[in-house]
Amino acid sequence: MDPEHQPKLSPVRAYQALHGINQDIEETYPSLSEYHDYEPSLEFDDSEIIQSSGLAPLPPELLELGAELADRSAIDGTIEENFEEELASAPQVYAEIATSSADEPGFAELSSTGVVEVVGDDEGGRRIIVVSACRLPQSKDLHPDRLLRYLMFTLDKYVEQDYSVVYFHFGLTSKNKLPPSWLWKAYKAFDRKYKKNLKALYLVHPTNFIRIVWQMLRPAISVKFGRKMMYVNYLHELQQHLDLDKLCIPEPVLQYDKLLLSKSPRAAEAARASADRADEARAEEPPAAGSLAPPPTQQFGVSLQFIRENHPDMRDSIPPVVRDCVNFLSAPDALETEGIFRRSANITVIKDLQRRCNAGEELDFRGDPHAAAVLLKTFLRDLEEPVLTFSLYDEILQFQSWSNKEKPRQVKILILERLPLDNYKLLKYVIQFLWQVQDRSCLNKMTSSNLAVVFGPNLASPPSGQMSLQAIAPINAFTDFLLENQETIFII
Amino acid sequence: MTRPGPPNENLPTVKLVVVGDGGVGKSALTIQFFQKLFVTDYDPTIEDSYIQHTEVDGQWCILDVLDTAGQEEFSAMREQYMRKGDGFLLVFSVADRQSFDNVRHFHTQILRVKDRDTYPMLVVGNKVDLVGARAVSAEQGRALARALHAPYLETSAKEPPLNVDAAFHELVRIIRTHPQQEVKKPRMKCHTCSIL
Repeated sequence: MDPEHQPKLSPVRAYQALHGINQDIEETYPSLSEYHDYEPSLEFDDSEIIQSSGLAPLPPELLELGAELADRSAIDGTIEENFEEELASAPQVYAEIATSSADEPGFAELSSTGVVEVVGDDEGGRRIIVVSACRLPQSKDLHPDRLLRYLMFTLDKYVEQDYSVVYFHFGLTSKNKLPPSWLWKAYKAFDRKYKKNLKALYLVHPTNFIRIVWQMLRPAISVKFGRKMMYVNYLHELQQHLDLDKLCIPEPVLQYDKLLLSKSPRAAEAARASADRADEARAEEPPAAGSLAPPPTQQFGVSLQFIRENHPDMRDSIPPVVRDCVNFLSAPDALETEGIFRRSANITVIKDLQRRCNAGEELDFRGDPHAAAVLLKTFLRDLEEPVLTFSLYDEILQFQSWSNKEKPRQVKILILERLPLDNYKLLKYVIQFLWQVQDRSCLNKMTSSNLAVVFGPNLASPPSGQMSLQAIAPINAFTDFLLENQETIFII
Repeated sequence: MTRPGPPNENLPTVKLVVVGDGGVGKSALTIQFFQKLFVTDYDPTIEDSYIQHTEVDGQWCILDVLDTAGQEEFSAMREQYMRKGDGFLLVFSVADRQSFDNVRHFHTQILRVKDRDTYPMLVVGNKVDLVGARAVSAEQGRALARALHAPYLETSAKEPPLNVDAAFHELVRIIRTHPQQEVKKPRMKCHTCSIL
């Protein structure tokens, strides 16, 4: 056997290191786009404005100035001429774009950049489409028409229903920027169907340049459409409309927002207030507000408080479904099942059990310990707020940075002082039961660290519900610590 | 015996993702393939990635395999890696009926994330060494695979390994021969008509 054929093993825990983040925009190409001839003959050079406006937020005085400037340009007549030219050629342009798309191969290279992402629903249940300028490929690699087709292609799947668009402007550089004429072309290309169902267009981190362009386009854009457009200077302003955690905001944009906030203490203040409000709203929000109020028997996807209020006979703040699962699993046979809590159960069976439980019916696990184990995990994961609460989440992520000496004290503070009583009781109940499980690890093979891996994400999760790979390690370490030290931690 | 080593020029990278319920032997298969050993420790995986130059049918490629968590609590990460995979091993344990039943869910989710009607996948019935504990017959495995329009292989990661290399290589072949297809419902043309 020749040595070079020996397989090289390189397990990489961090998924991202391998798969992620090709978003860095290289800065090695000359600044003028190849499509320079598309640019209308504006009386000012837009690339200069981008540079001069730079990364700094725009003070209000300047903003007005920008608007004024734009107005004046319009009065000059030069800009309007431009529009007319563009307008006249628009139908042909559109025909060109649309027809050439028929024989277009897939947009794999574009979709892999994540320029356009569809990220679930906003408060009104509408689809949110996120466009991130920082993920745009360089102009030289991408024909603007192709991008437009890709946009239309993506939107096509969603425009039949109401939708919103969030556009992160930050990261648009001279290397990947699109000519202003492109925007106009895009506006013309999207026919009424797209615009009608567009409920809101959020323009995040606008620069001088984009405000000016917008002002210029204003006269040509329908009033209705204009009303849908909203400038968002800071991410926290967006929070009022959308759940930011769902958006998968690109890292450079988050960084940029931080930078902006650090420059403006007042905005930073507002950001904190808004974050607090969001937390409060989450904490106080009645389960599934509105017409779809859950039945009083509901236990999945509601708050512990809701369960307690609707189950007056509940003992010690332990929801009935948790007791049912634990009682069933405490039988020696079940407790000793190999891979208990690691193995999956039939998804359909679990769904059925959930439905029965929510309807207040008796649970029958049909002798399957995995069904009970998975149902218990599902209950914890589906809680409106995880047992370890959103407010402790960030601190739990710090767990590994605490020294071994301070860990016991820190953990005790979190668990004994900061956790609400209902949560504390439930956590104690679950952890003490898991201690029984790991006590039989010679038979069920589930050591405390194994249990921590499959239980951690059910006990703590971020408000977005989207757990990142990096967060899992501290959460699991924390859970393992709770298990190993349960006797000294849960002393109340 | 002198075989030519992996050529140094830019090789195509093939991203394989191993999915399936918890405890069906995804990591055991992956580690047997990469390290030629059968792991006996019982550690649930969160996510592990392995890379290696591999020759399949005389063509070299960089095989980038992602070993994933089977538990539902990690399902938030699924969409991410499903988006990135070029092909998927849908693993179940022939000794675990439920893991067999859940293969369909993984299959459905992959097609949904990819927005395709078909995608390179291989159904793998693992742990065939556990003859006495067998709960899913080879015929049932084949029938499921047929229904999902995917080939079927039975494997064992335990020494002596059975079909482990074959499974990974077969998936590479499937990816290579899979027609590059349009994403579902290309409706652009209709819009053209309606607008003009």
